[in-house]
Amino acid sequence: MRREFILDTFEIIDDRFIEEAKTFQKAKKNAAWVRYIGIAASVLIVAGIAVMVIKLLPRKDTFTTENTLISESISSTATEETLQTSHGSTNETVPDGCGEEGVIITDRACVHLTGVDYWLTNEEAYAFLMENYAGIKNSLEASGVNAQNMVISETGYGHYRTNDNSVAVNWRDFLVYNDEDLISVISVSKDENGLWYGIAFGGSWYSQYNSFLQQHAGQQLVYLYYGDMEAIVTPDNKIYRFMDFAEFEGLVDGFDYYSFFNQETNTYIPN
Amino acid sequence: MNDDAIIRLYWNRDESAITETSRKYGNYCFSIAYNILYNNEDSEECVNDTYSRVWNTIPPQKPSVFSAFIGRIVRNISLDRYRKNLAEKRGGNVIPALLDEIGEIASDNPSPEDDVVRNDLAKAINDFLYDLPLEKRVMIVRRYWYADDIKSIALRLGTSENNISTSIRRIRIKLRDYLLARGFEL
Repeated sequence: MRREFILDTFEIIDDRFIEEAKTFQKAKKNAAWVRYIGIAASVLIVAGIAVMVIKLLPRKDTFTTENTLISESISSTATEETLQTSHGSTNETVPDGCGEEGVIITDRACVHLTGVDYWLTNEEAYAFLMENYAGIKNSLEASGVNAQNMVISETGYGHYRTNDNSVAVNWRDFLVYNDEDLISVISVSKDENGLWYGIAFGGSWYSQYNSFLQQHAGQQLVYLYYGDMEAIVTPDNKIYRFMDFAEFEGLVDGFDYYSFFNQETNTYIPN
Repeated sequence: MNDDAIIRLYWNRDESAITETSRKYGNYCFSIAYNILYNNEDSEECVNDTYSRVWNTIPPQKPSVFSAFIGRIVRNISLDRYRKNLAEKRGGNVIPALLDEIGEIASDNPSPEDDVVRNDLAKAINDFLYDLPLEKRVMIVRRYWYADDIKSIALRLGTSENNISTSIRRIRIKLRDYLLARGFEL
């Protein structure tokens, strides 16, 4: 294998490693006395907490019930932050990686939901778009887009991301039509400042995308990012690349990509 | 301005997106380009090409980690420029050093090198990095992704250059063994 090939391959390592190395700066060591003070303080805090816990612990005859409740509470919290994929939690059936075009399948069964602090439901995103309907229409028309009979899809979708095995729940993409033409994709996001939207229009691939959606009308489509590229998985377990909507080849036989990537927040059913 | 807000500007086709990107990531991009090219003028051009490519890529893309996204683009453009410069007999001196080091992993023997192999290799490298302790991982990524010199890495990690060189060499050997065990033809 050529050295250049390996060096080039480093380019596509995981985003989190790049970000981690960007910001990493080892802290200077503190003087010994500072460390000893830190240790002493830690010991005191731990001792204090231990005393509090002992005082708060219920008597043995009531402990079982409370313990069960606590377990249920922890369990429900965990469910909010993560979502199991529908294929189950075993790793044996998951291939290491596949696809001529670079779809890399995760080997972890648990999907992280990111952006949970600003969870955006479809209803509030759509209501927000309706509130801003006139402004969106004006923006598109001011940009030369024919939006006279503009209709916004009632459902928005996020994406499964293969690089960090997650689905973001704080943004959704909505499709905008004028009569039969797809004219725009609006992304609604939620953050500490509330809801906001971004309008994309003029994509040379919109008509192809529209044809693709019409061919798959009524089907639940699954959206995913692999690396920085976007793709759609159809219920017949085929994966199509965005822009040219060509079908990926060389996928692993027998692996159910559709079920694996299918999460509620990254699906869309075209009419 | 936070990354979400910058991405929002790109999606709105607001040209101030480039100004904000330059303000926040200009030095970061320049340092990646300069590490590879060792030339101010070439590095500036690569950074400007990077902004242009980001503008043409978002939308439809919506990077989850913007810094990694833009860093990857500037690295790619800079390596292309480096190869062009090499063909014209001018260029920096870090990449040959990196390639020499990677020569301990790769034999330069002919072997399949296509997108399938690249993706498998990337996944193997990711898995390998994932299992490394944080500081070791930072060393490798700073060296082979950011193309940092040993001195910069030593300063960042608060240790000697000798320690860094030795550690990176050991990790390279481990990586070679790891890849061989996974069936890669090195």
